[in-house]
Amino acid sequence: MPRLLVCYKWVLDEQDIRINPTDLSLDASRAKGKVSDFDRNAIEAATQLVEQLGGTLDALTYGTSTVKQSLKDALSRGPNKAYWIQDAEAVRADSHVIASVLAAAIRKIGPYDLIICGEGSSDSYNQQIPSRLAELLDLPAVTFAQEIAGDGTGFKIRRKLDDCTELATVRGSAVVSVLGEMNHPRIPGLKQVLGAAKKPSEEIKLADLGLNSRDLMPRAINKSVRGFVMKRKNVIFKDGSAAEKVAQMVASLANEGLC
Amino acid sequence: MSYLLTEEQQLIRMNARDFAKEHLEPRAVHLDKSDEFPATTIKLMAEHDLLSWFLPEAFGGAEVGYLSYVLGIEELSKASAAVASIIVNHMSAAYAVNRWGSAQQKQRHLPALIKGETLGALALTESGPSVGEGPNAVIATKQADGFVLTGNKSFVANAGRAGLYVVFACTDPLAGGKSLAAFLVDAKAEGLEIGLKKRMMGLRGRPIADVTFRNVAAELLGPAESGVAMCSELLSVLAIAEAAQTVGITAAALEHAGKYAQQRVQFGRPIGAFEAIQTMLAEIATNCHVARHAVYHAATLIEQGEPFSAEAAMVKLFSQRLGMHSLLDTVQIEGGYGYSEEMLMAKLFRDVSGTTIAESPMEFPEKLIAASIA
Amino acid sequence: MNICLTNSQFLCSCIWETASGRSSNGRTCRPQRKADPMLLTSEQQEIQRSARNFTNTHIVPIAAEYDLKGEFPEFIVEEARKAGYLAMGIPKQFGGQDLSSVTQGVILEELGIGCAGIATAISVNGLGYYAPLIAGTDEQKKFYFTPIVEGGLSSFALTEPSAGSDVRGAKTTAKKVGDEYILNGSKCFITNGAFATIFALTDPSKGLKGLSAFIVEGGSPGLVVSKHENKLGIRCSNTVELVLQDLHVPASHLLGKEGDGMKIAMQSLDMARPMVGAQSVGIAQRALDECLKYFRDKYPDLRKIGQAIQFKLADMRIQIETARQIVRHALAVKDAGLPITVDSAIAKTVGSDTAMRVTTDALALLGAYGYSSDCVVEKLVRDAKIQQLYEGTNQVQRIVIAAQLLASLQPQTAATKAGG
Repeated sequence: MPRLLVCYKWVLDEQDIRINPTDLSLDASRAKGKVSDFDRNAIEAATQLVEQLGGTLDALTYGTSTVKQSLKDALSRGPNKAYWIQDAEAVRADSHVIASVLAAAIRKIGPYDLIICGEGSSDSYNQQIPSRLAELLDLPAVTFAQEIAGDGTGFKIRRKLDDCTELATVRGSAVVSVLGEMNHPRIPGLKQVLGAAKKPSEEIKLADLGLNSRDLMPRAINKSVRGFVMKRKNVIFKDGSAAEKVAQMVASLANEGLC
Repeated sequence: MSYLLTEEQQLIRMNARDFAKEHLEPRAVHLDKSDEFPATTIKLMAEHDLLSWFLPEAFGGAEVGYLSYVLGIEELSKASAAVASIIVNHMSAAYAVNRWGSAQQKQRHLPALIKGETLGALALTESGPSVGEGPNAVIATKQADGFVLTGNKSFVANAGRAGLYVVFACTDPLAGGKSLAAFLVDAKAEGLEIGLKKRMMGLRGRPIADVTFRNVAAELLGPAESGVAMCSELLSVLAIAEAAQTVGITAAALEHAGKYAQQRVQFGRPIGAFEAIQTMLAEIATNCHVARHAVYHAATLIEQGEPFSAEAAMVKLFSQRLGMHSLLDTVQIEGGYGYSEEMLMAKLFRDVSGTTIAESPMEFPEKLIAASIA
Repeated sequence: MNICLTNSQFLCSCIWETASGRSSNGRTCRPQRKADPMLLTSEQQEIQRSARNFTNTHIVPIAAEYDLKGEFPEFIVEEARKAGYLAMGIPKQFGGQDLSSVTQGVILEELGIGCAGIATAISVNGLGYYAPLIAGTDEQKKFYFTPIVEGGLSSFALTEPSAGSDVRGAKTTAKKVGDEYILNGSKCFITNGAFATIFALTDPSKGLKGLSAFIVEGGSPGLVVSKHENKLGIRCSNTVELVLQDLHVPASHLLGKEGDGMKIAMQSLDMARPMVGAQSVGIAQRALDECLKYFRDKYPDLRKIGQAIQFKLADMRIQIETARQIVRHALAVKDAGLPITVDSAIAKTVGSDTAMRVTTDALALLGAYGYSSDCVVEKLVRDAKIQQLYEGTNQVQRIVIAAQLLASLQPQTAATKAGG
């Protein structure tokens, strides 16, 4: 009976973020939190595996003071227990720090047969956590998973790569990251939402993880975040015959470096 | 009493919103055009426990508070008022069974209602001046082993799809409405005739028809002498849920019109820059906000076992004005596009007044409210 | 408290034909209103009776069916021609009825009682032919009026996707080439479609001062009737999108001079707006009639109708009568040849707002029955809404009225003294 872990991040819902048209700064004051999109796919994949194979599913998250808001939401989607690490510095954490923290936590609460993550977070989308975790935990990383199935002794995982699909057979533990197209995260039923309140959650204190200042020092520092607004060129080709107009358009596109 | 929603209530609301966005919104326009009962959607909702709400855990229900139910209905109504209306009518019948049913009646009916295997319906309105009066009034005659009902109910929501009808009928034709009692009727009972499905202005997809009773076997629900009080309570409970629907539809219309006002440029600016439009939007937003909290308050009174009939009547009265006036203005803001059935606003306009209908002429909110002041 | 119903208001021996053609039980009847002896001449009363009869015979039995389908009942045009309604504002010398504006308003109110969609077809027909009436030469008038007199409908094509309340957003152009104009662009939400007064920019650089008015024949090559609008109400009225693709129009079809378009459009709308008010009064009247019919059926003992309901009915009657007189006043001012811009805006606003209020009150009174297609009231609500929107939204009407009010505050110059 497998012991599974899913890592998730609580992010701002990008739908509610407004871009200031003058200086392209972001106004996130109205933005609510949500489980990062691909992490939902990860939770769904893990939940389905437990439903098929039995076993247990834990959830692990690292974030700022909002991390506690995320627990019931995550637990309503399938995990049996949630672990959380709260740290005001999490807002400045880069992939190195996040992976260090998560790996240290996993060493404490593991071992797990599979550690499942989304392929990237919906806010920064660095796609580094799964590989870094695997390296820190000395486990194989199986990324871009499109399908995960138990095969009696371990797992068979289909990976979708640029030019082919690859079937990986996993014996022993592994870190897996899943693609968004892998599944359709279920919307929990009302009773599952209510049931989340009854599931256990446990705080892991950062201080208890034995991390040093190097582990917790971000190597990539975020200088600023600006919105992107599409600008329309509004060029109209109206003079001349149809052939002439097409020629003008092609020339314009070539000028922009588009063809 | 806290004025803010608890964490659980917020989660329930978000859950309903997610469900509505995912499953109701994409089908809402098609449902309105086809006017066909959305059986698959209702089944899916049952699987998500969205037909159980405040019904007891012992029978498989979620047993959430009435306010949580109201929050859910508000969110569902934003996406598809017709579907929310089917649920509201179903839940009002389930409320009656849960509130007044004997242990046996609850055991027999609640699990099926909760699982969505049986859809509930409430049969109250008649063609006479008030329930229990007029040639078509439904009369209940006592028999050796129960009752039989004869007469006509009009505009019964969920009729034809319901498996269980909660019917109010008079036990004494001479006393008329004063002798009302509540009954349970199985949809398969002999002598029960469902009329042709009516075409309504809005909330299309929710079935509604006249129901004729020809010596139909019925089981008494609750004490025979309490019918009037039961009917009154049930209508109050229903009024609060329907008002939540009105608030939901109005909120959806407000958001839609607000976005339109930001995008539609006339006279060199988005029309939302004009004070006339700002005034209209502000009025709608204010009334919607006030109505919403009045609804939440009334729902909280139910949860806490406090009297709620006057508040329910106020909420009904206020939402009648809120719904229609707001939607008249949101259509106005969207001009010709607001009047087109190719856009969303016309459907919201047609839907909103269906949520504020007075169930029967005897239900006159002002009287109740005035009485409560004295 | 008893309700006092006079015999003139309830003639219970008549049968009321419901919209679907089936007759209801023998006890129900349509409340009969007396014609207004104080304000209408006996000739006008006769015309009113005749219009009422026309409505009951031709419109009421079919209105619900065409509303459901969203189709225009073509056969009505011929009946309207025979009754003289198509050309009611056209001068006699061109074959028209040349009726006074007040009389036309009376007819439109009656048609509005039957079906606002059909009334709209007739009133917009007028809006179309007002333009040549205002600015056309005799030849142009003959050209425009003849097909109408012979049984056709005309349109007024001003609105465009970018030009709703703001006519300056118009993009349709008219380029003079030899003795023709070539029109390009599109018009939307056009009632009746086809044969039309169409507005296009002969000089786009001048903005509104570069707008001109043209007579365009239906079926002209380059005039494409494209999208048919699926609407919330007045569903049997034909509302379309017109696409103008190199539409050739003879220069002789330019109304007035180049640049006169805006003036012609505004003057046409001034004439048409009280007519919208008139048909709106009809919609409201029908709503009240339906409420009375409903309560007659529902309460064998009318004394049981509660006071709140009685007061609501009384309020409806007050509002309808007020609107009727405001509309008639505006039309009487027009018949007197006086400027009507403000009275016209008031008539349109009061009429349409009244229709909206009375129909929504009726819907609330009639409960689930009112909400169903068994009852015409839900259609009346849908039909009433557009009256507040077209021919200048009621917001635009207020802009017109406010502008005049503020202008009256300006110190008087010789020019403003003369204008009044």
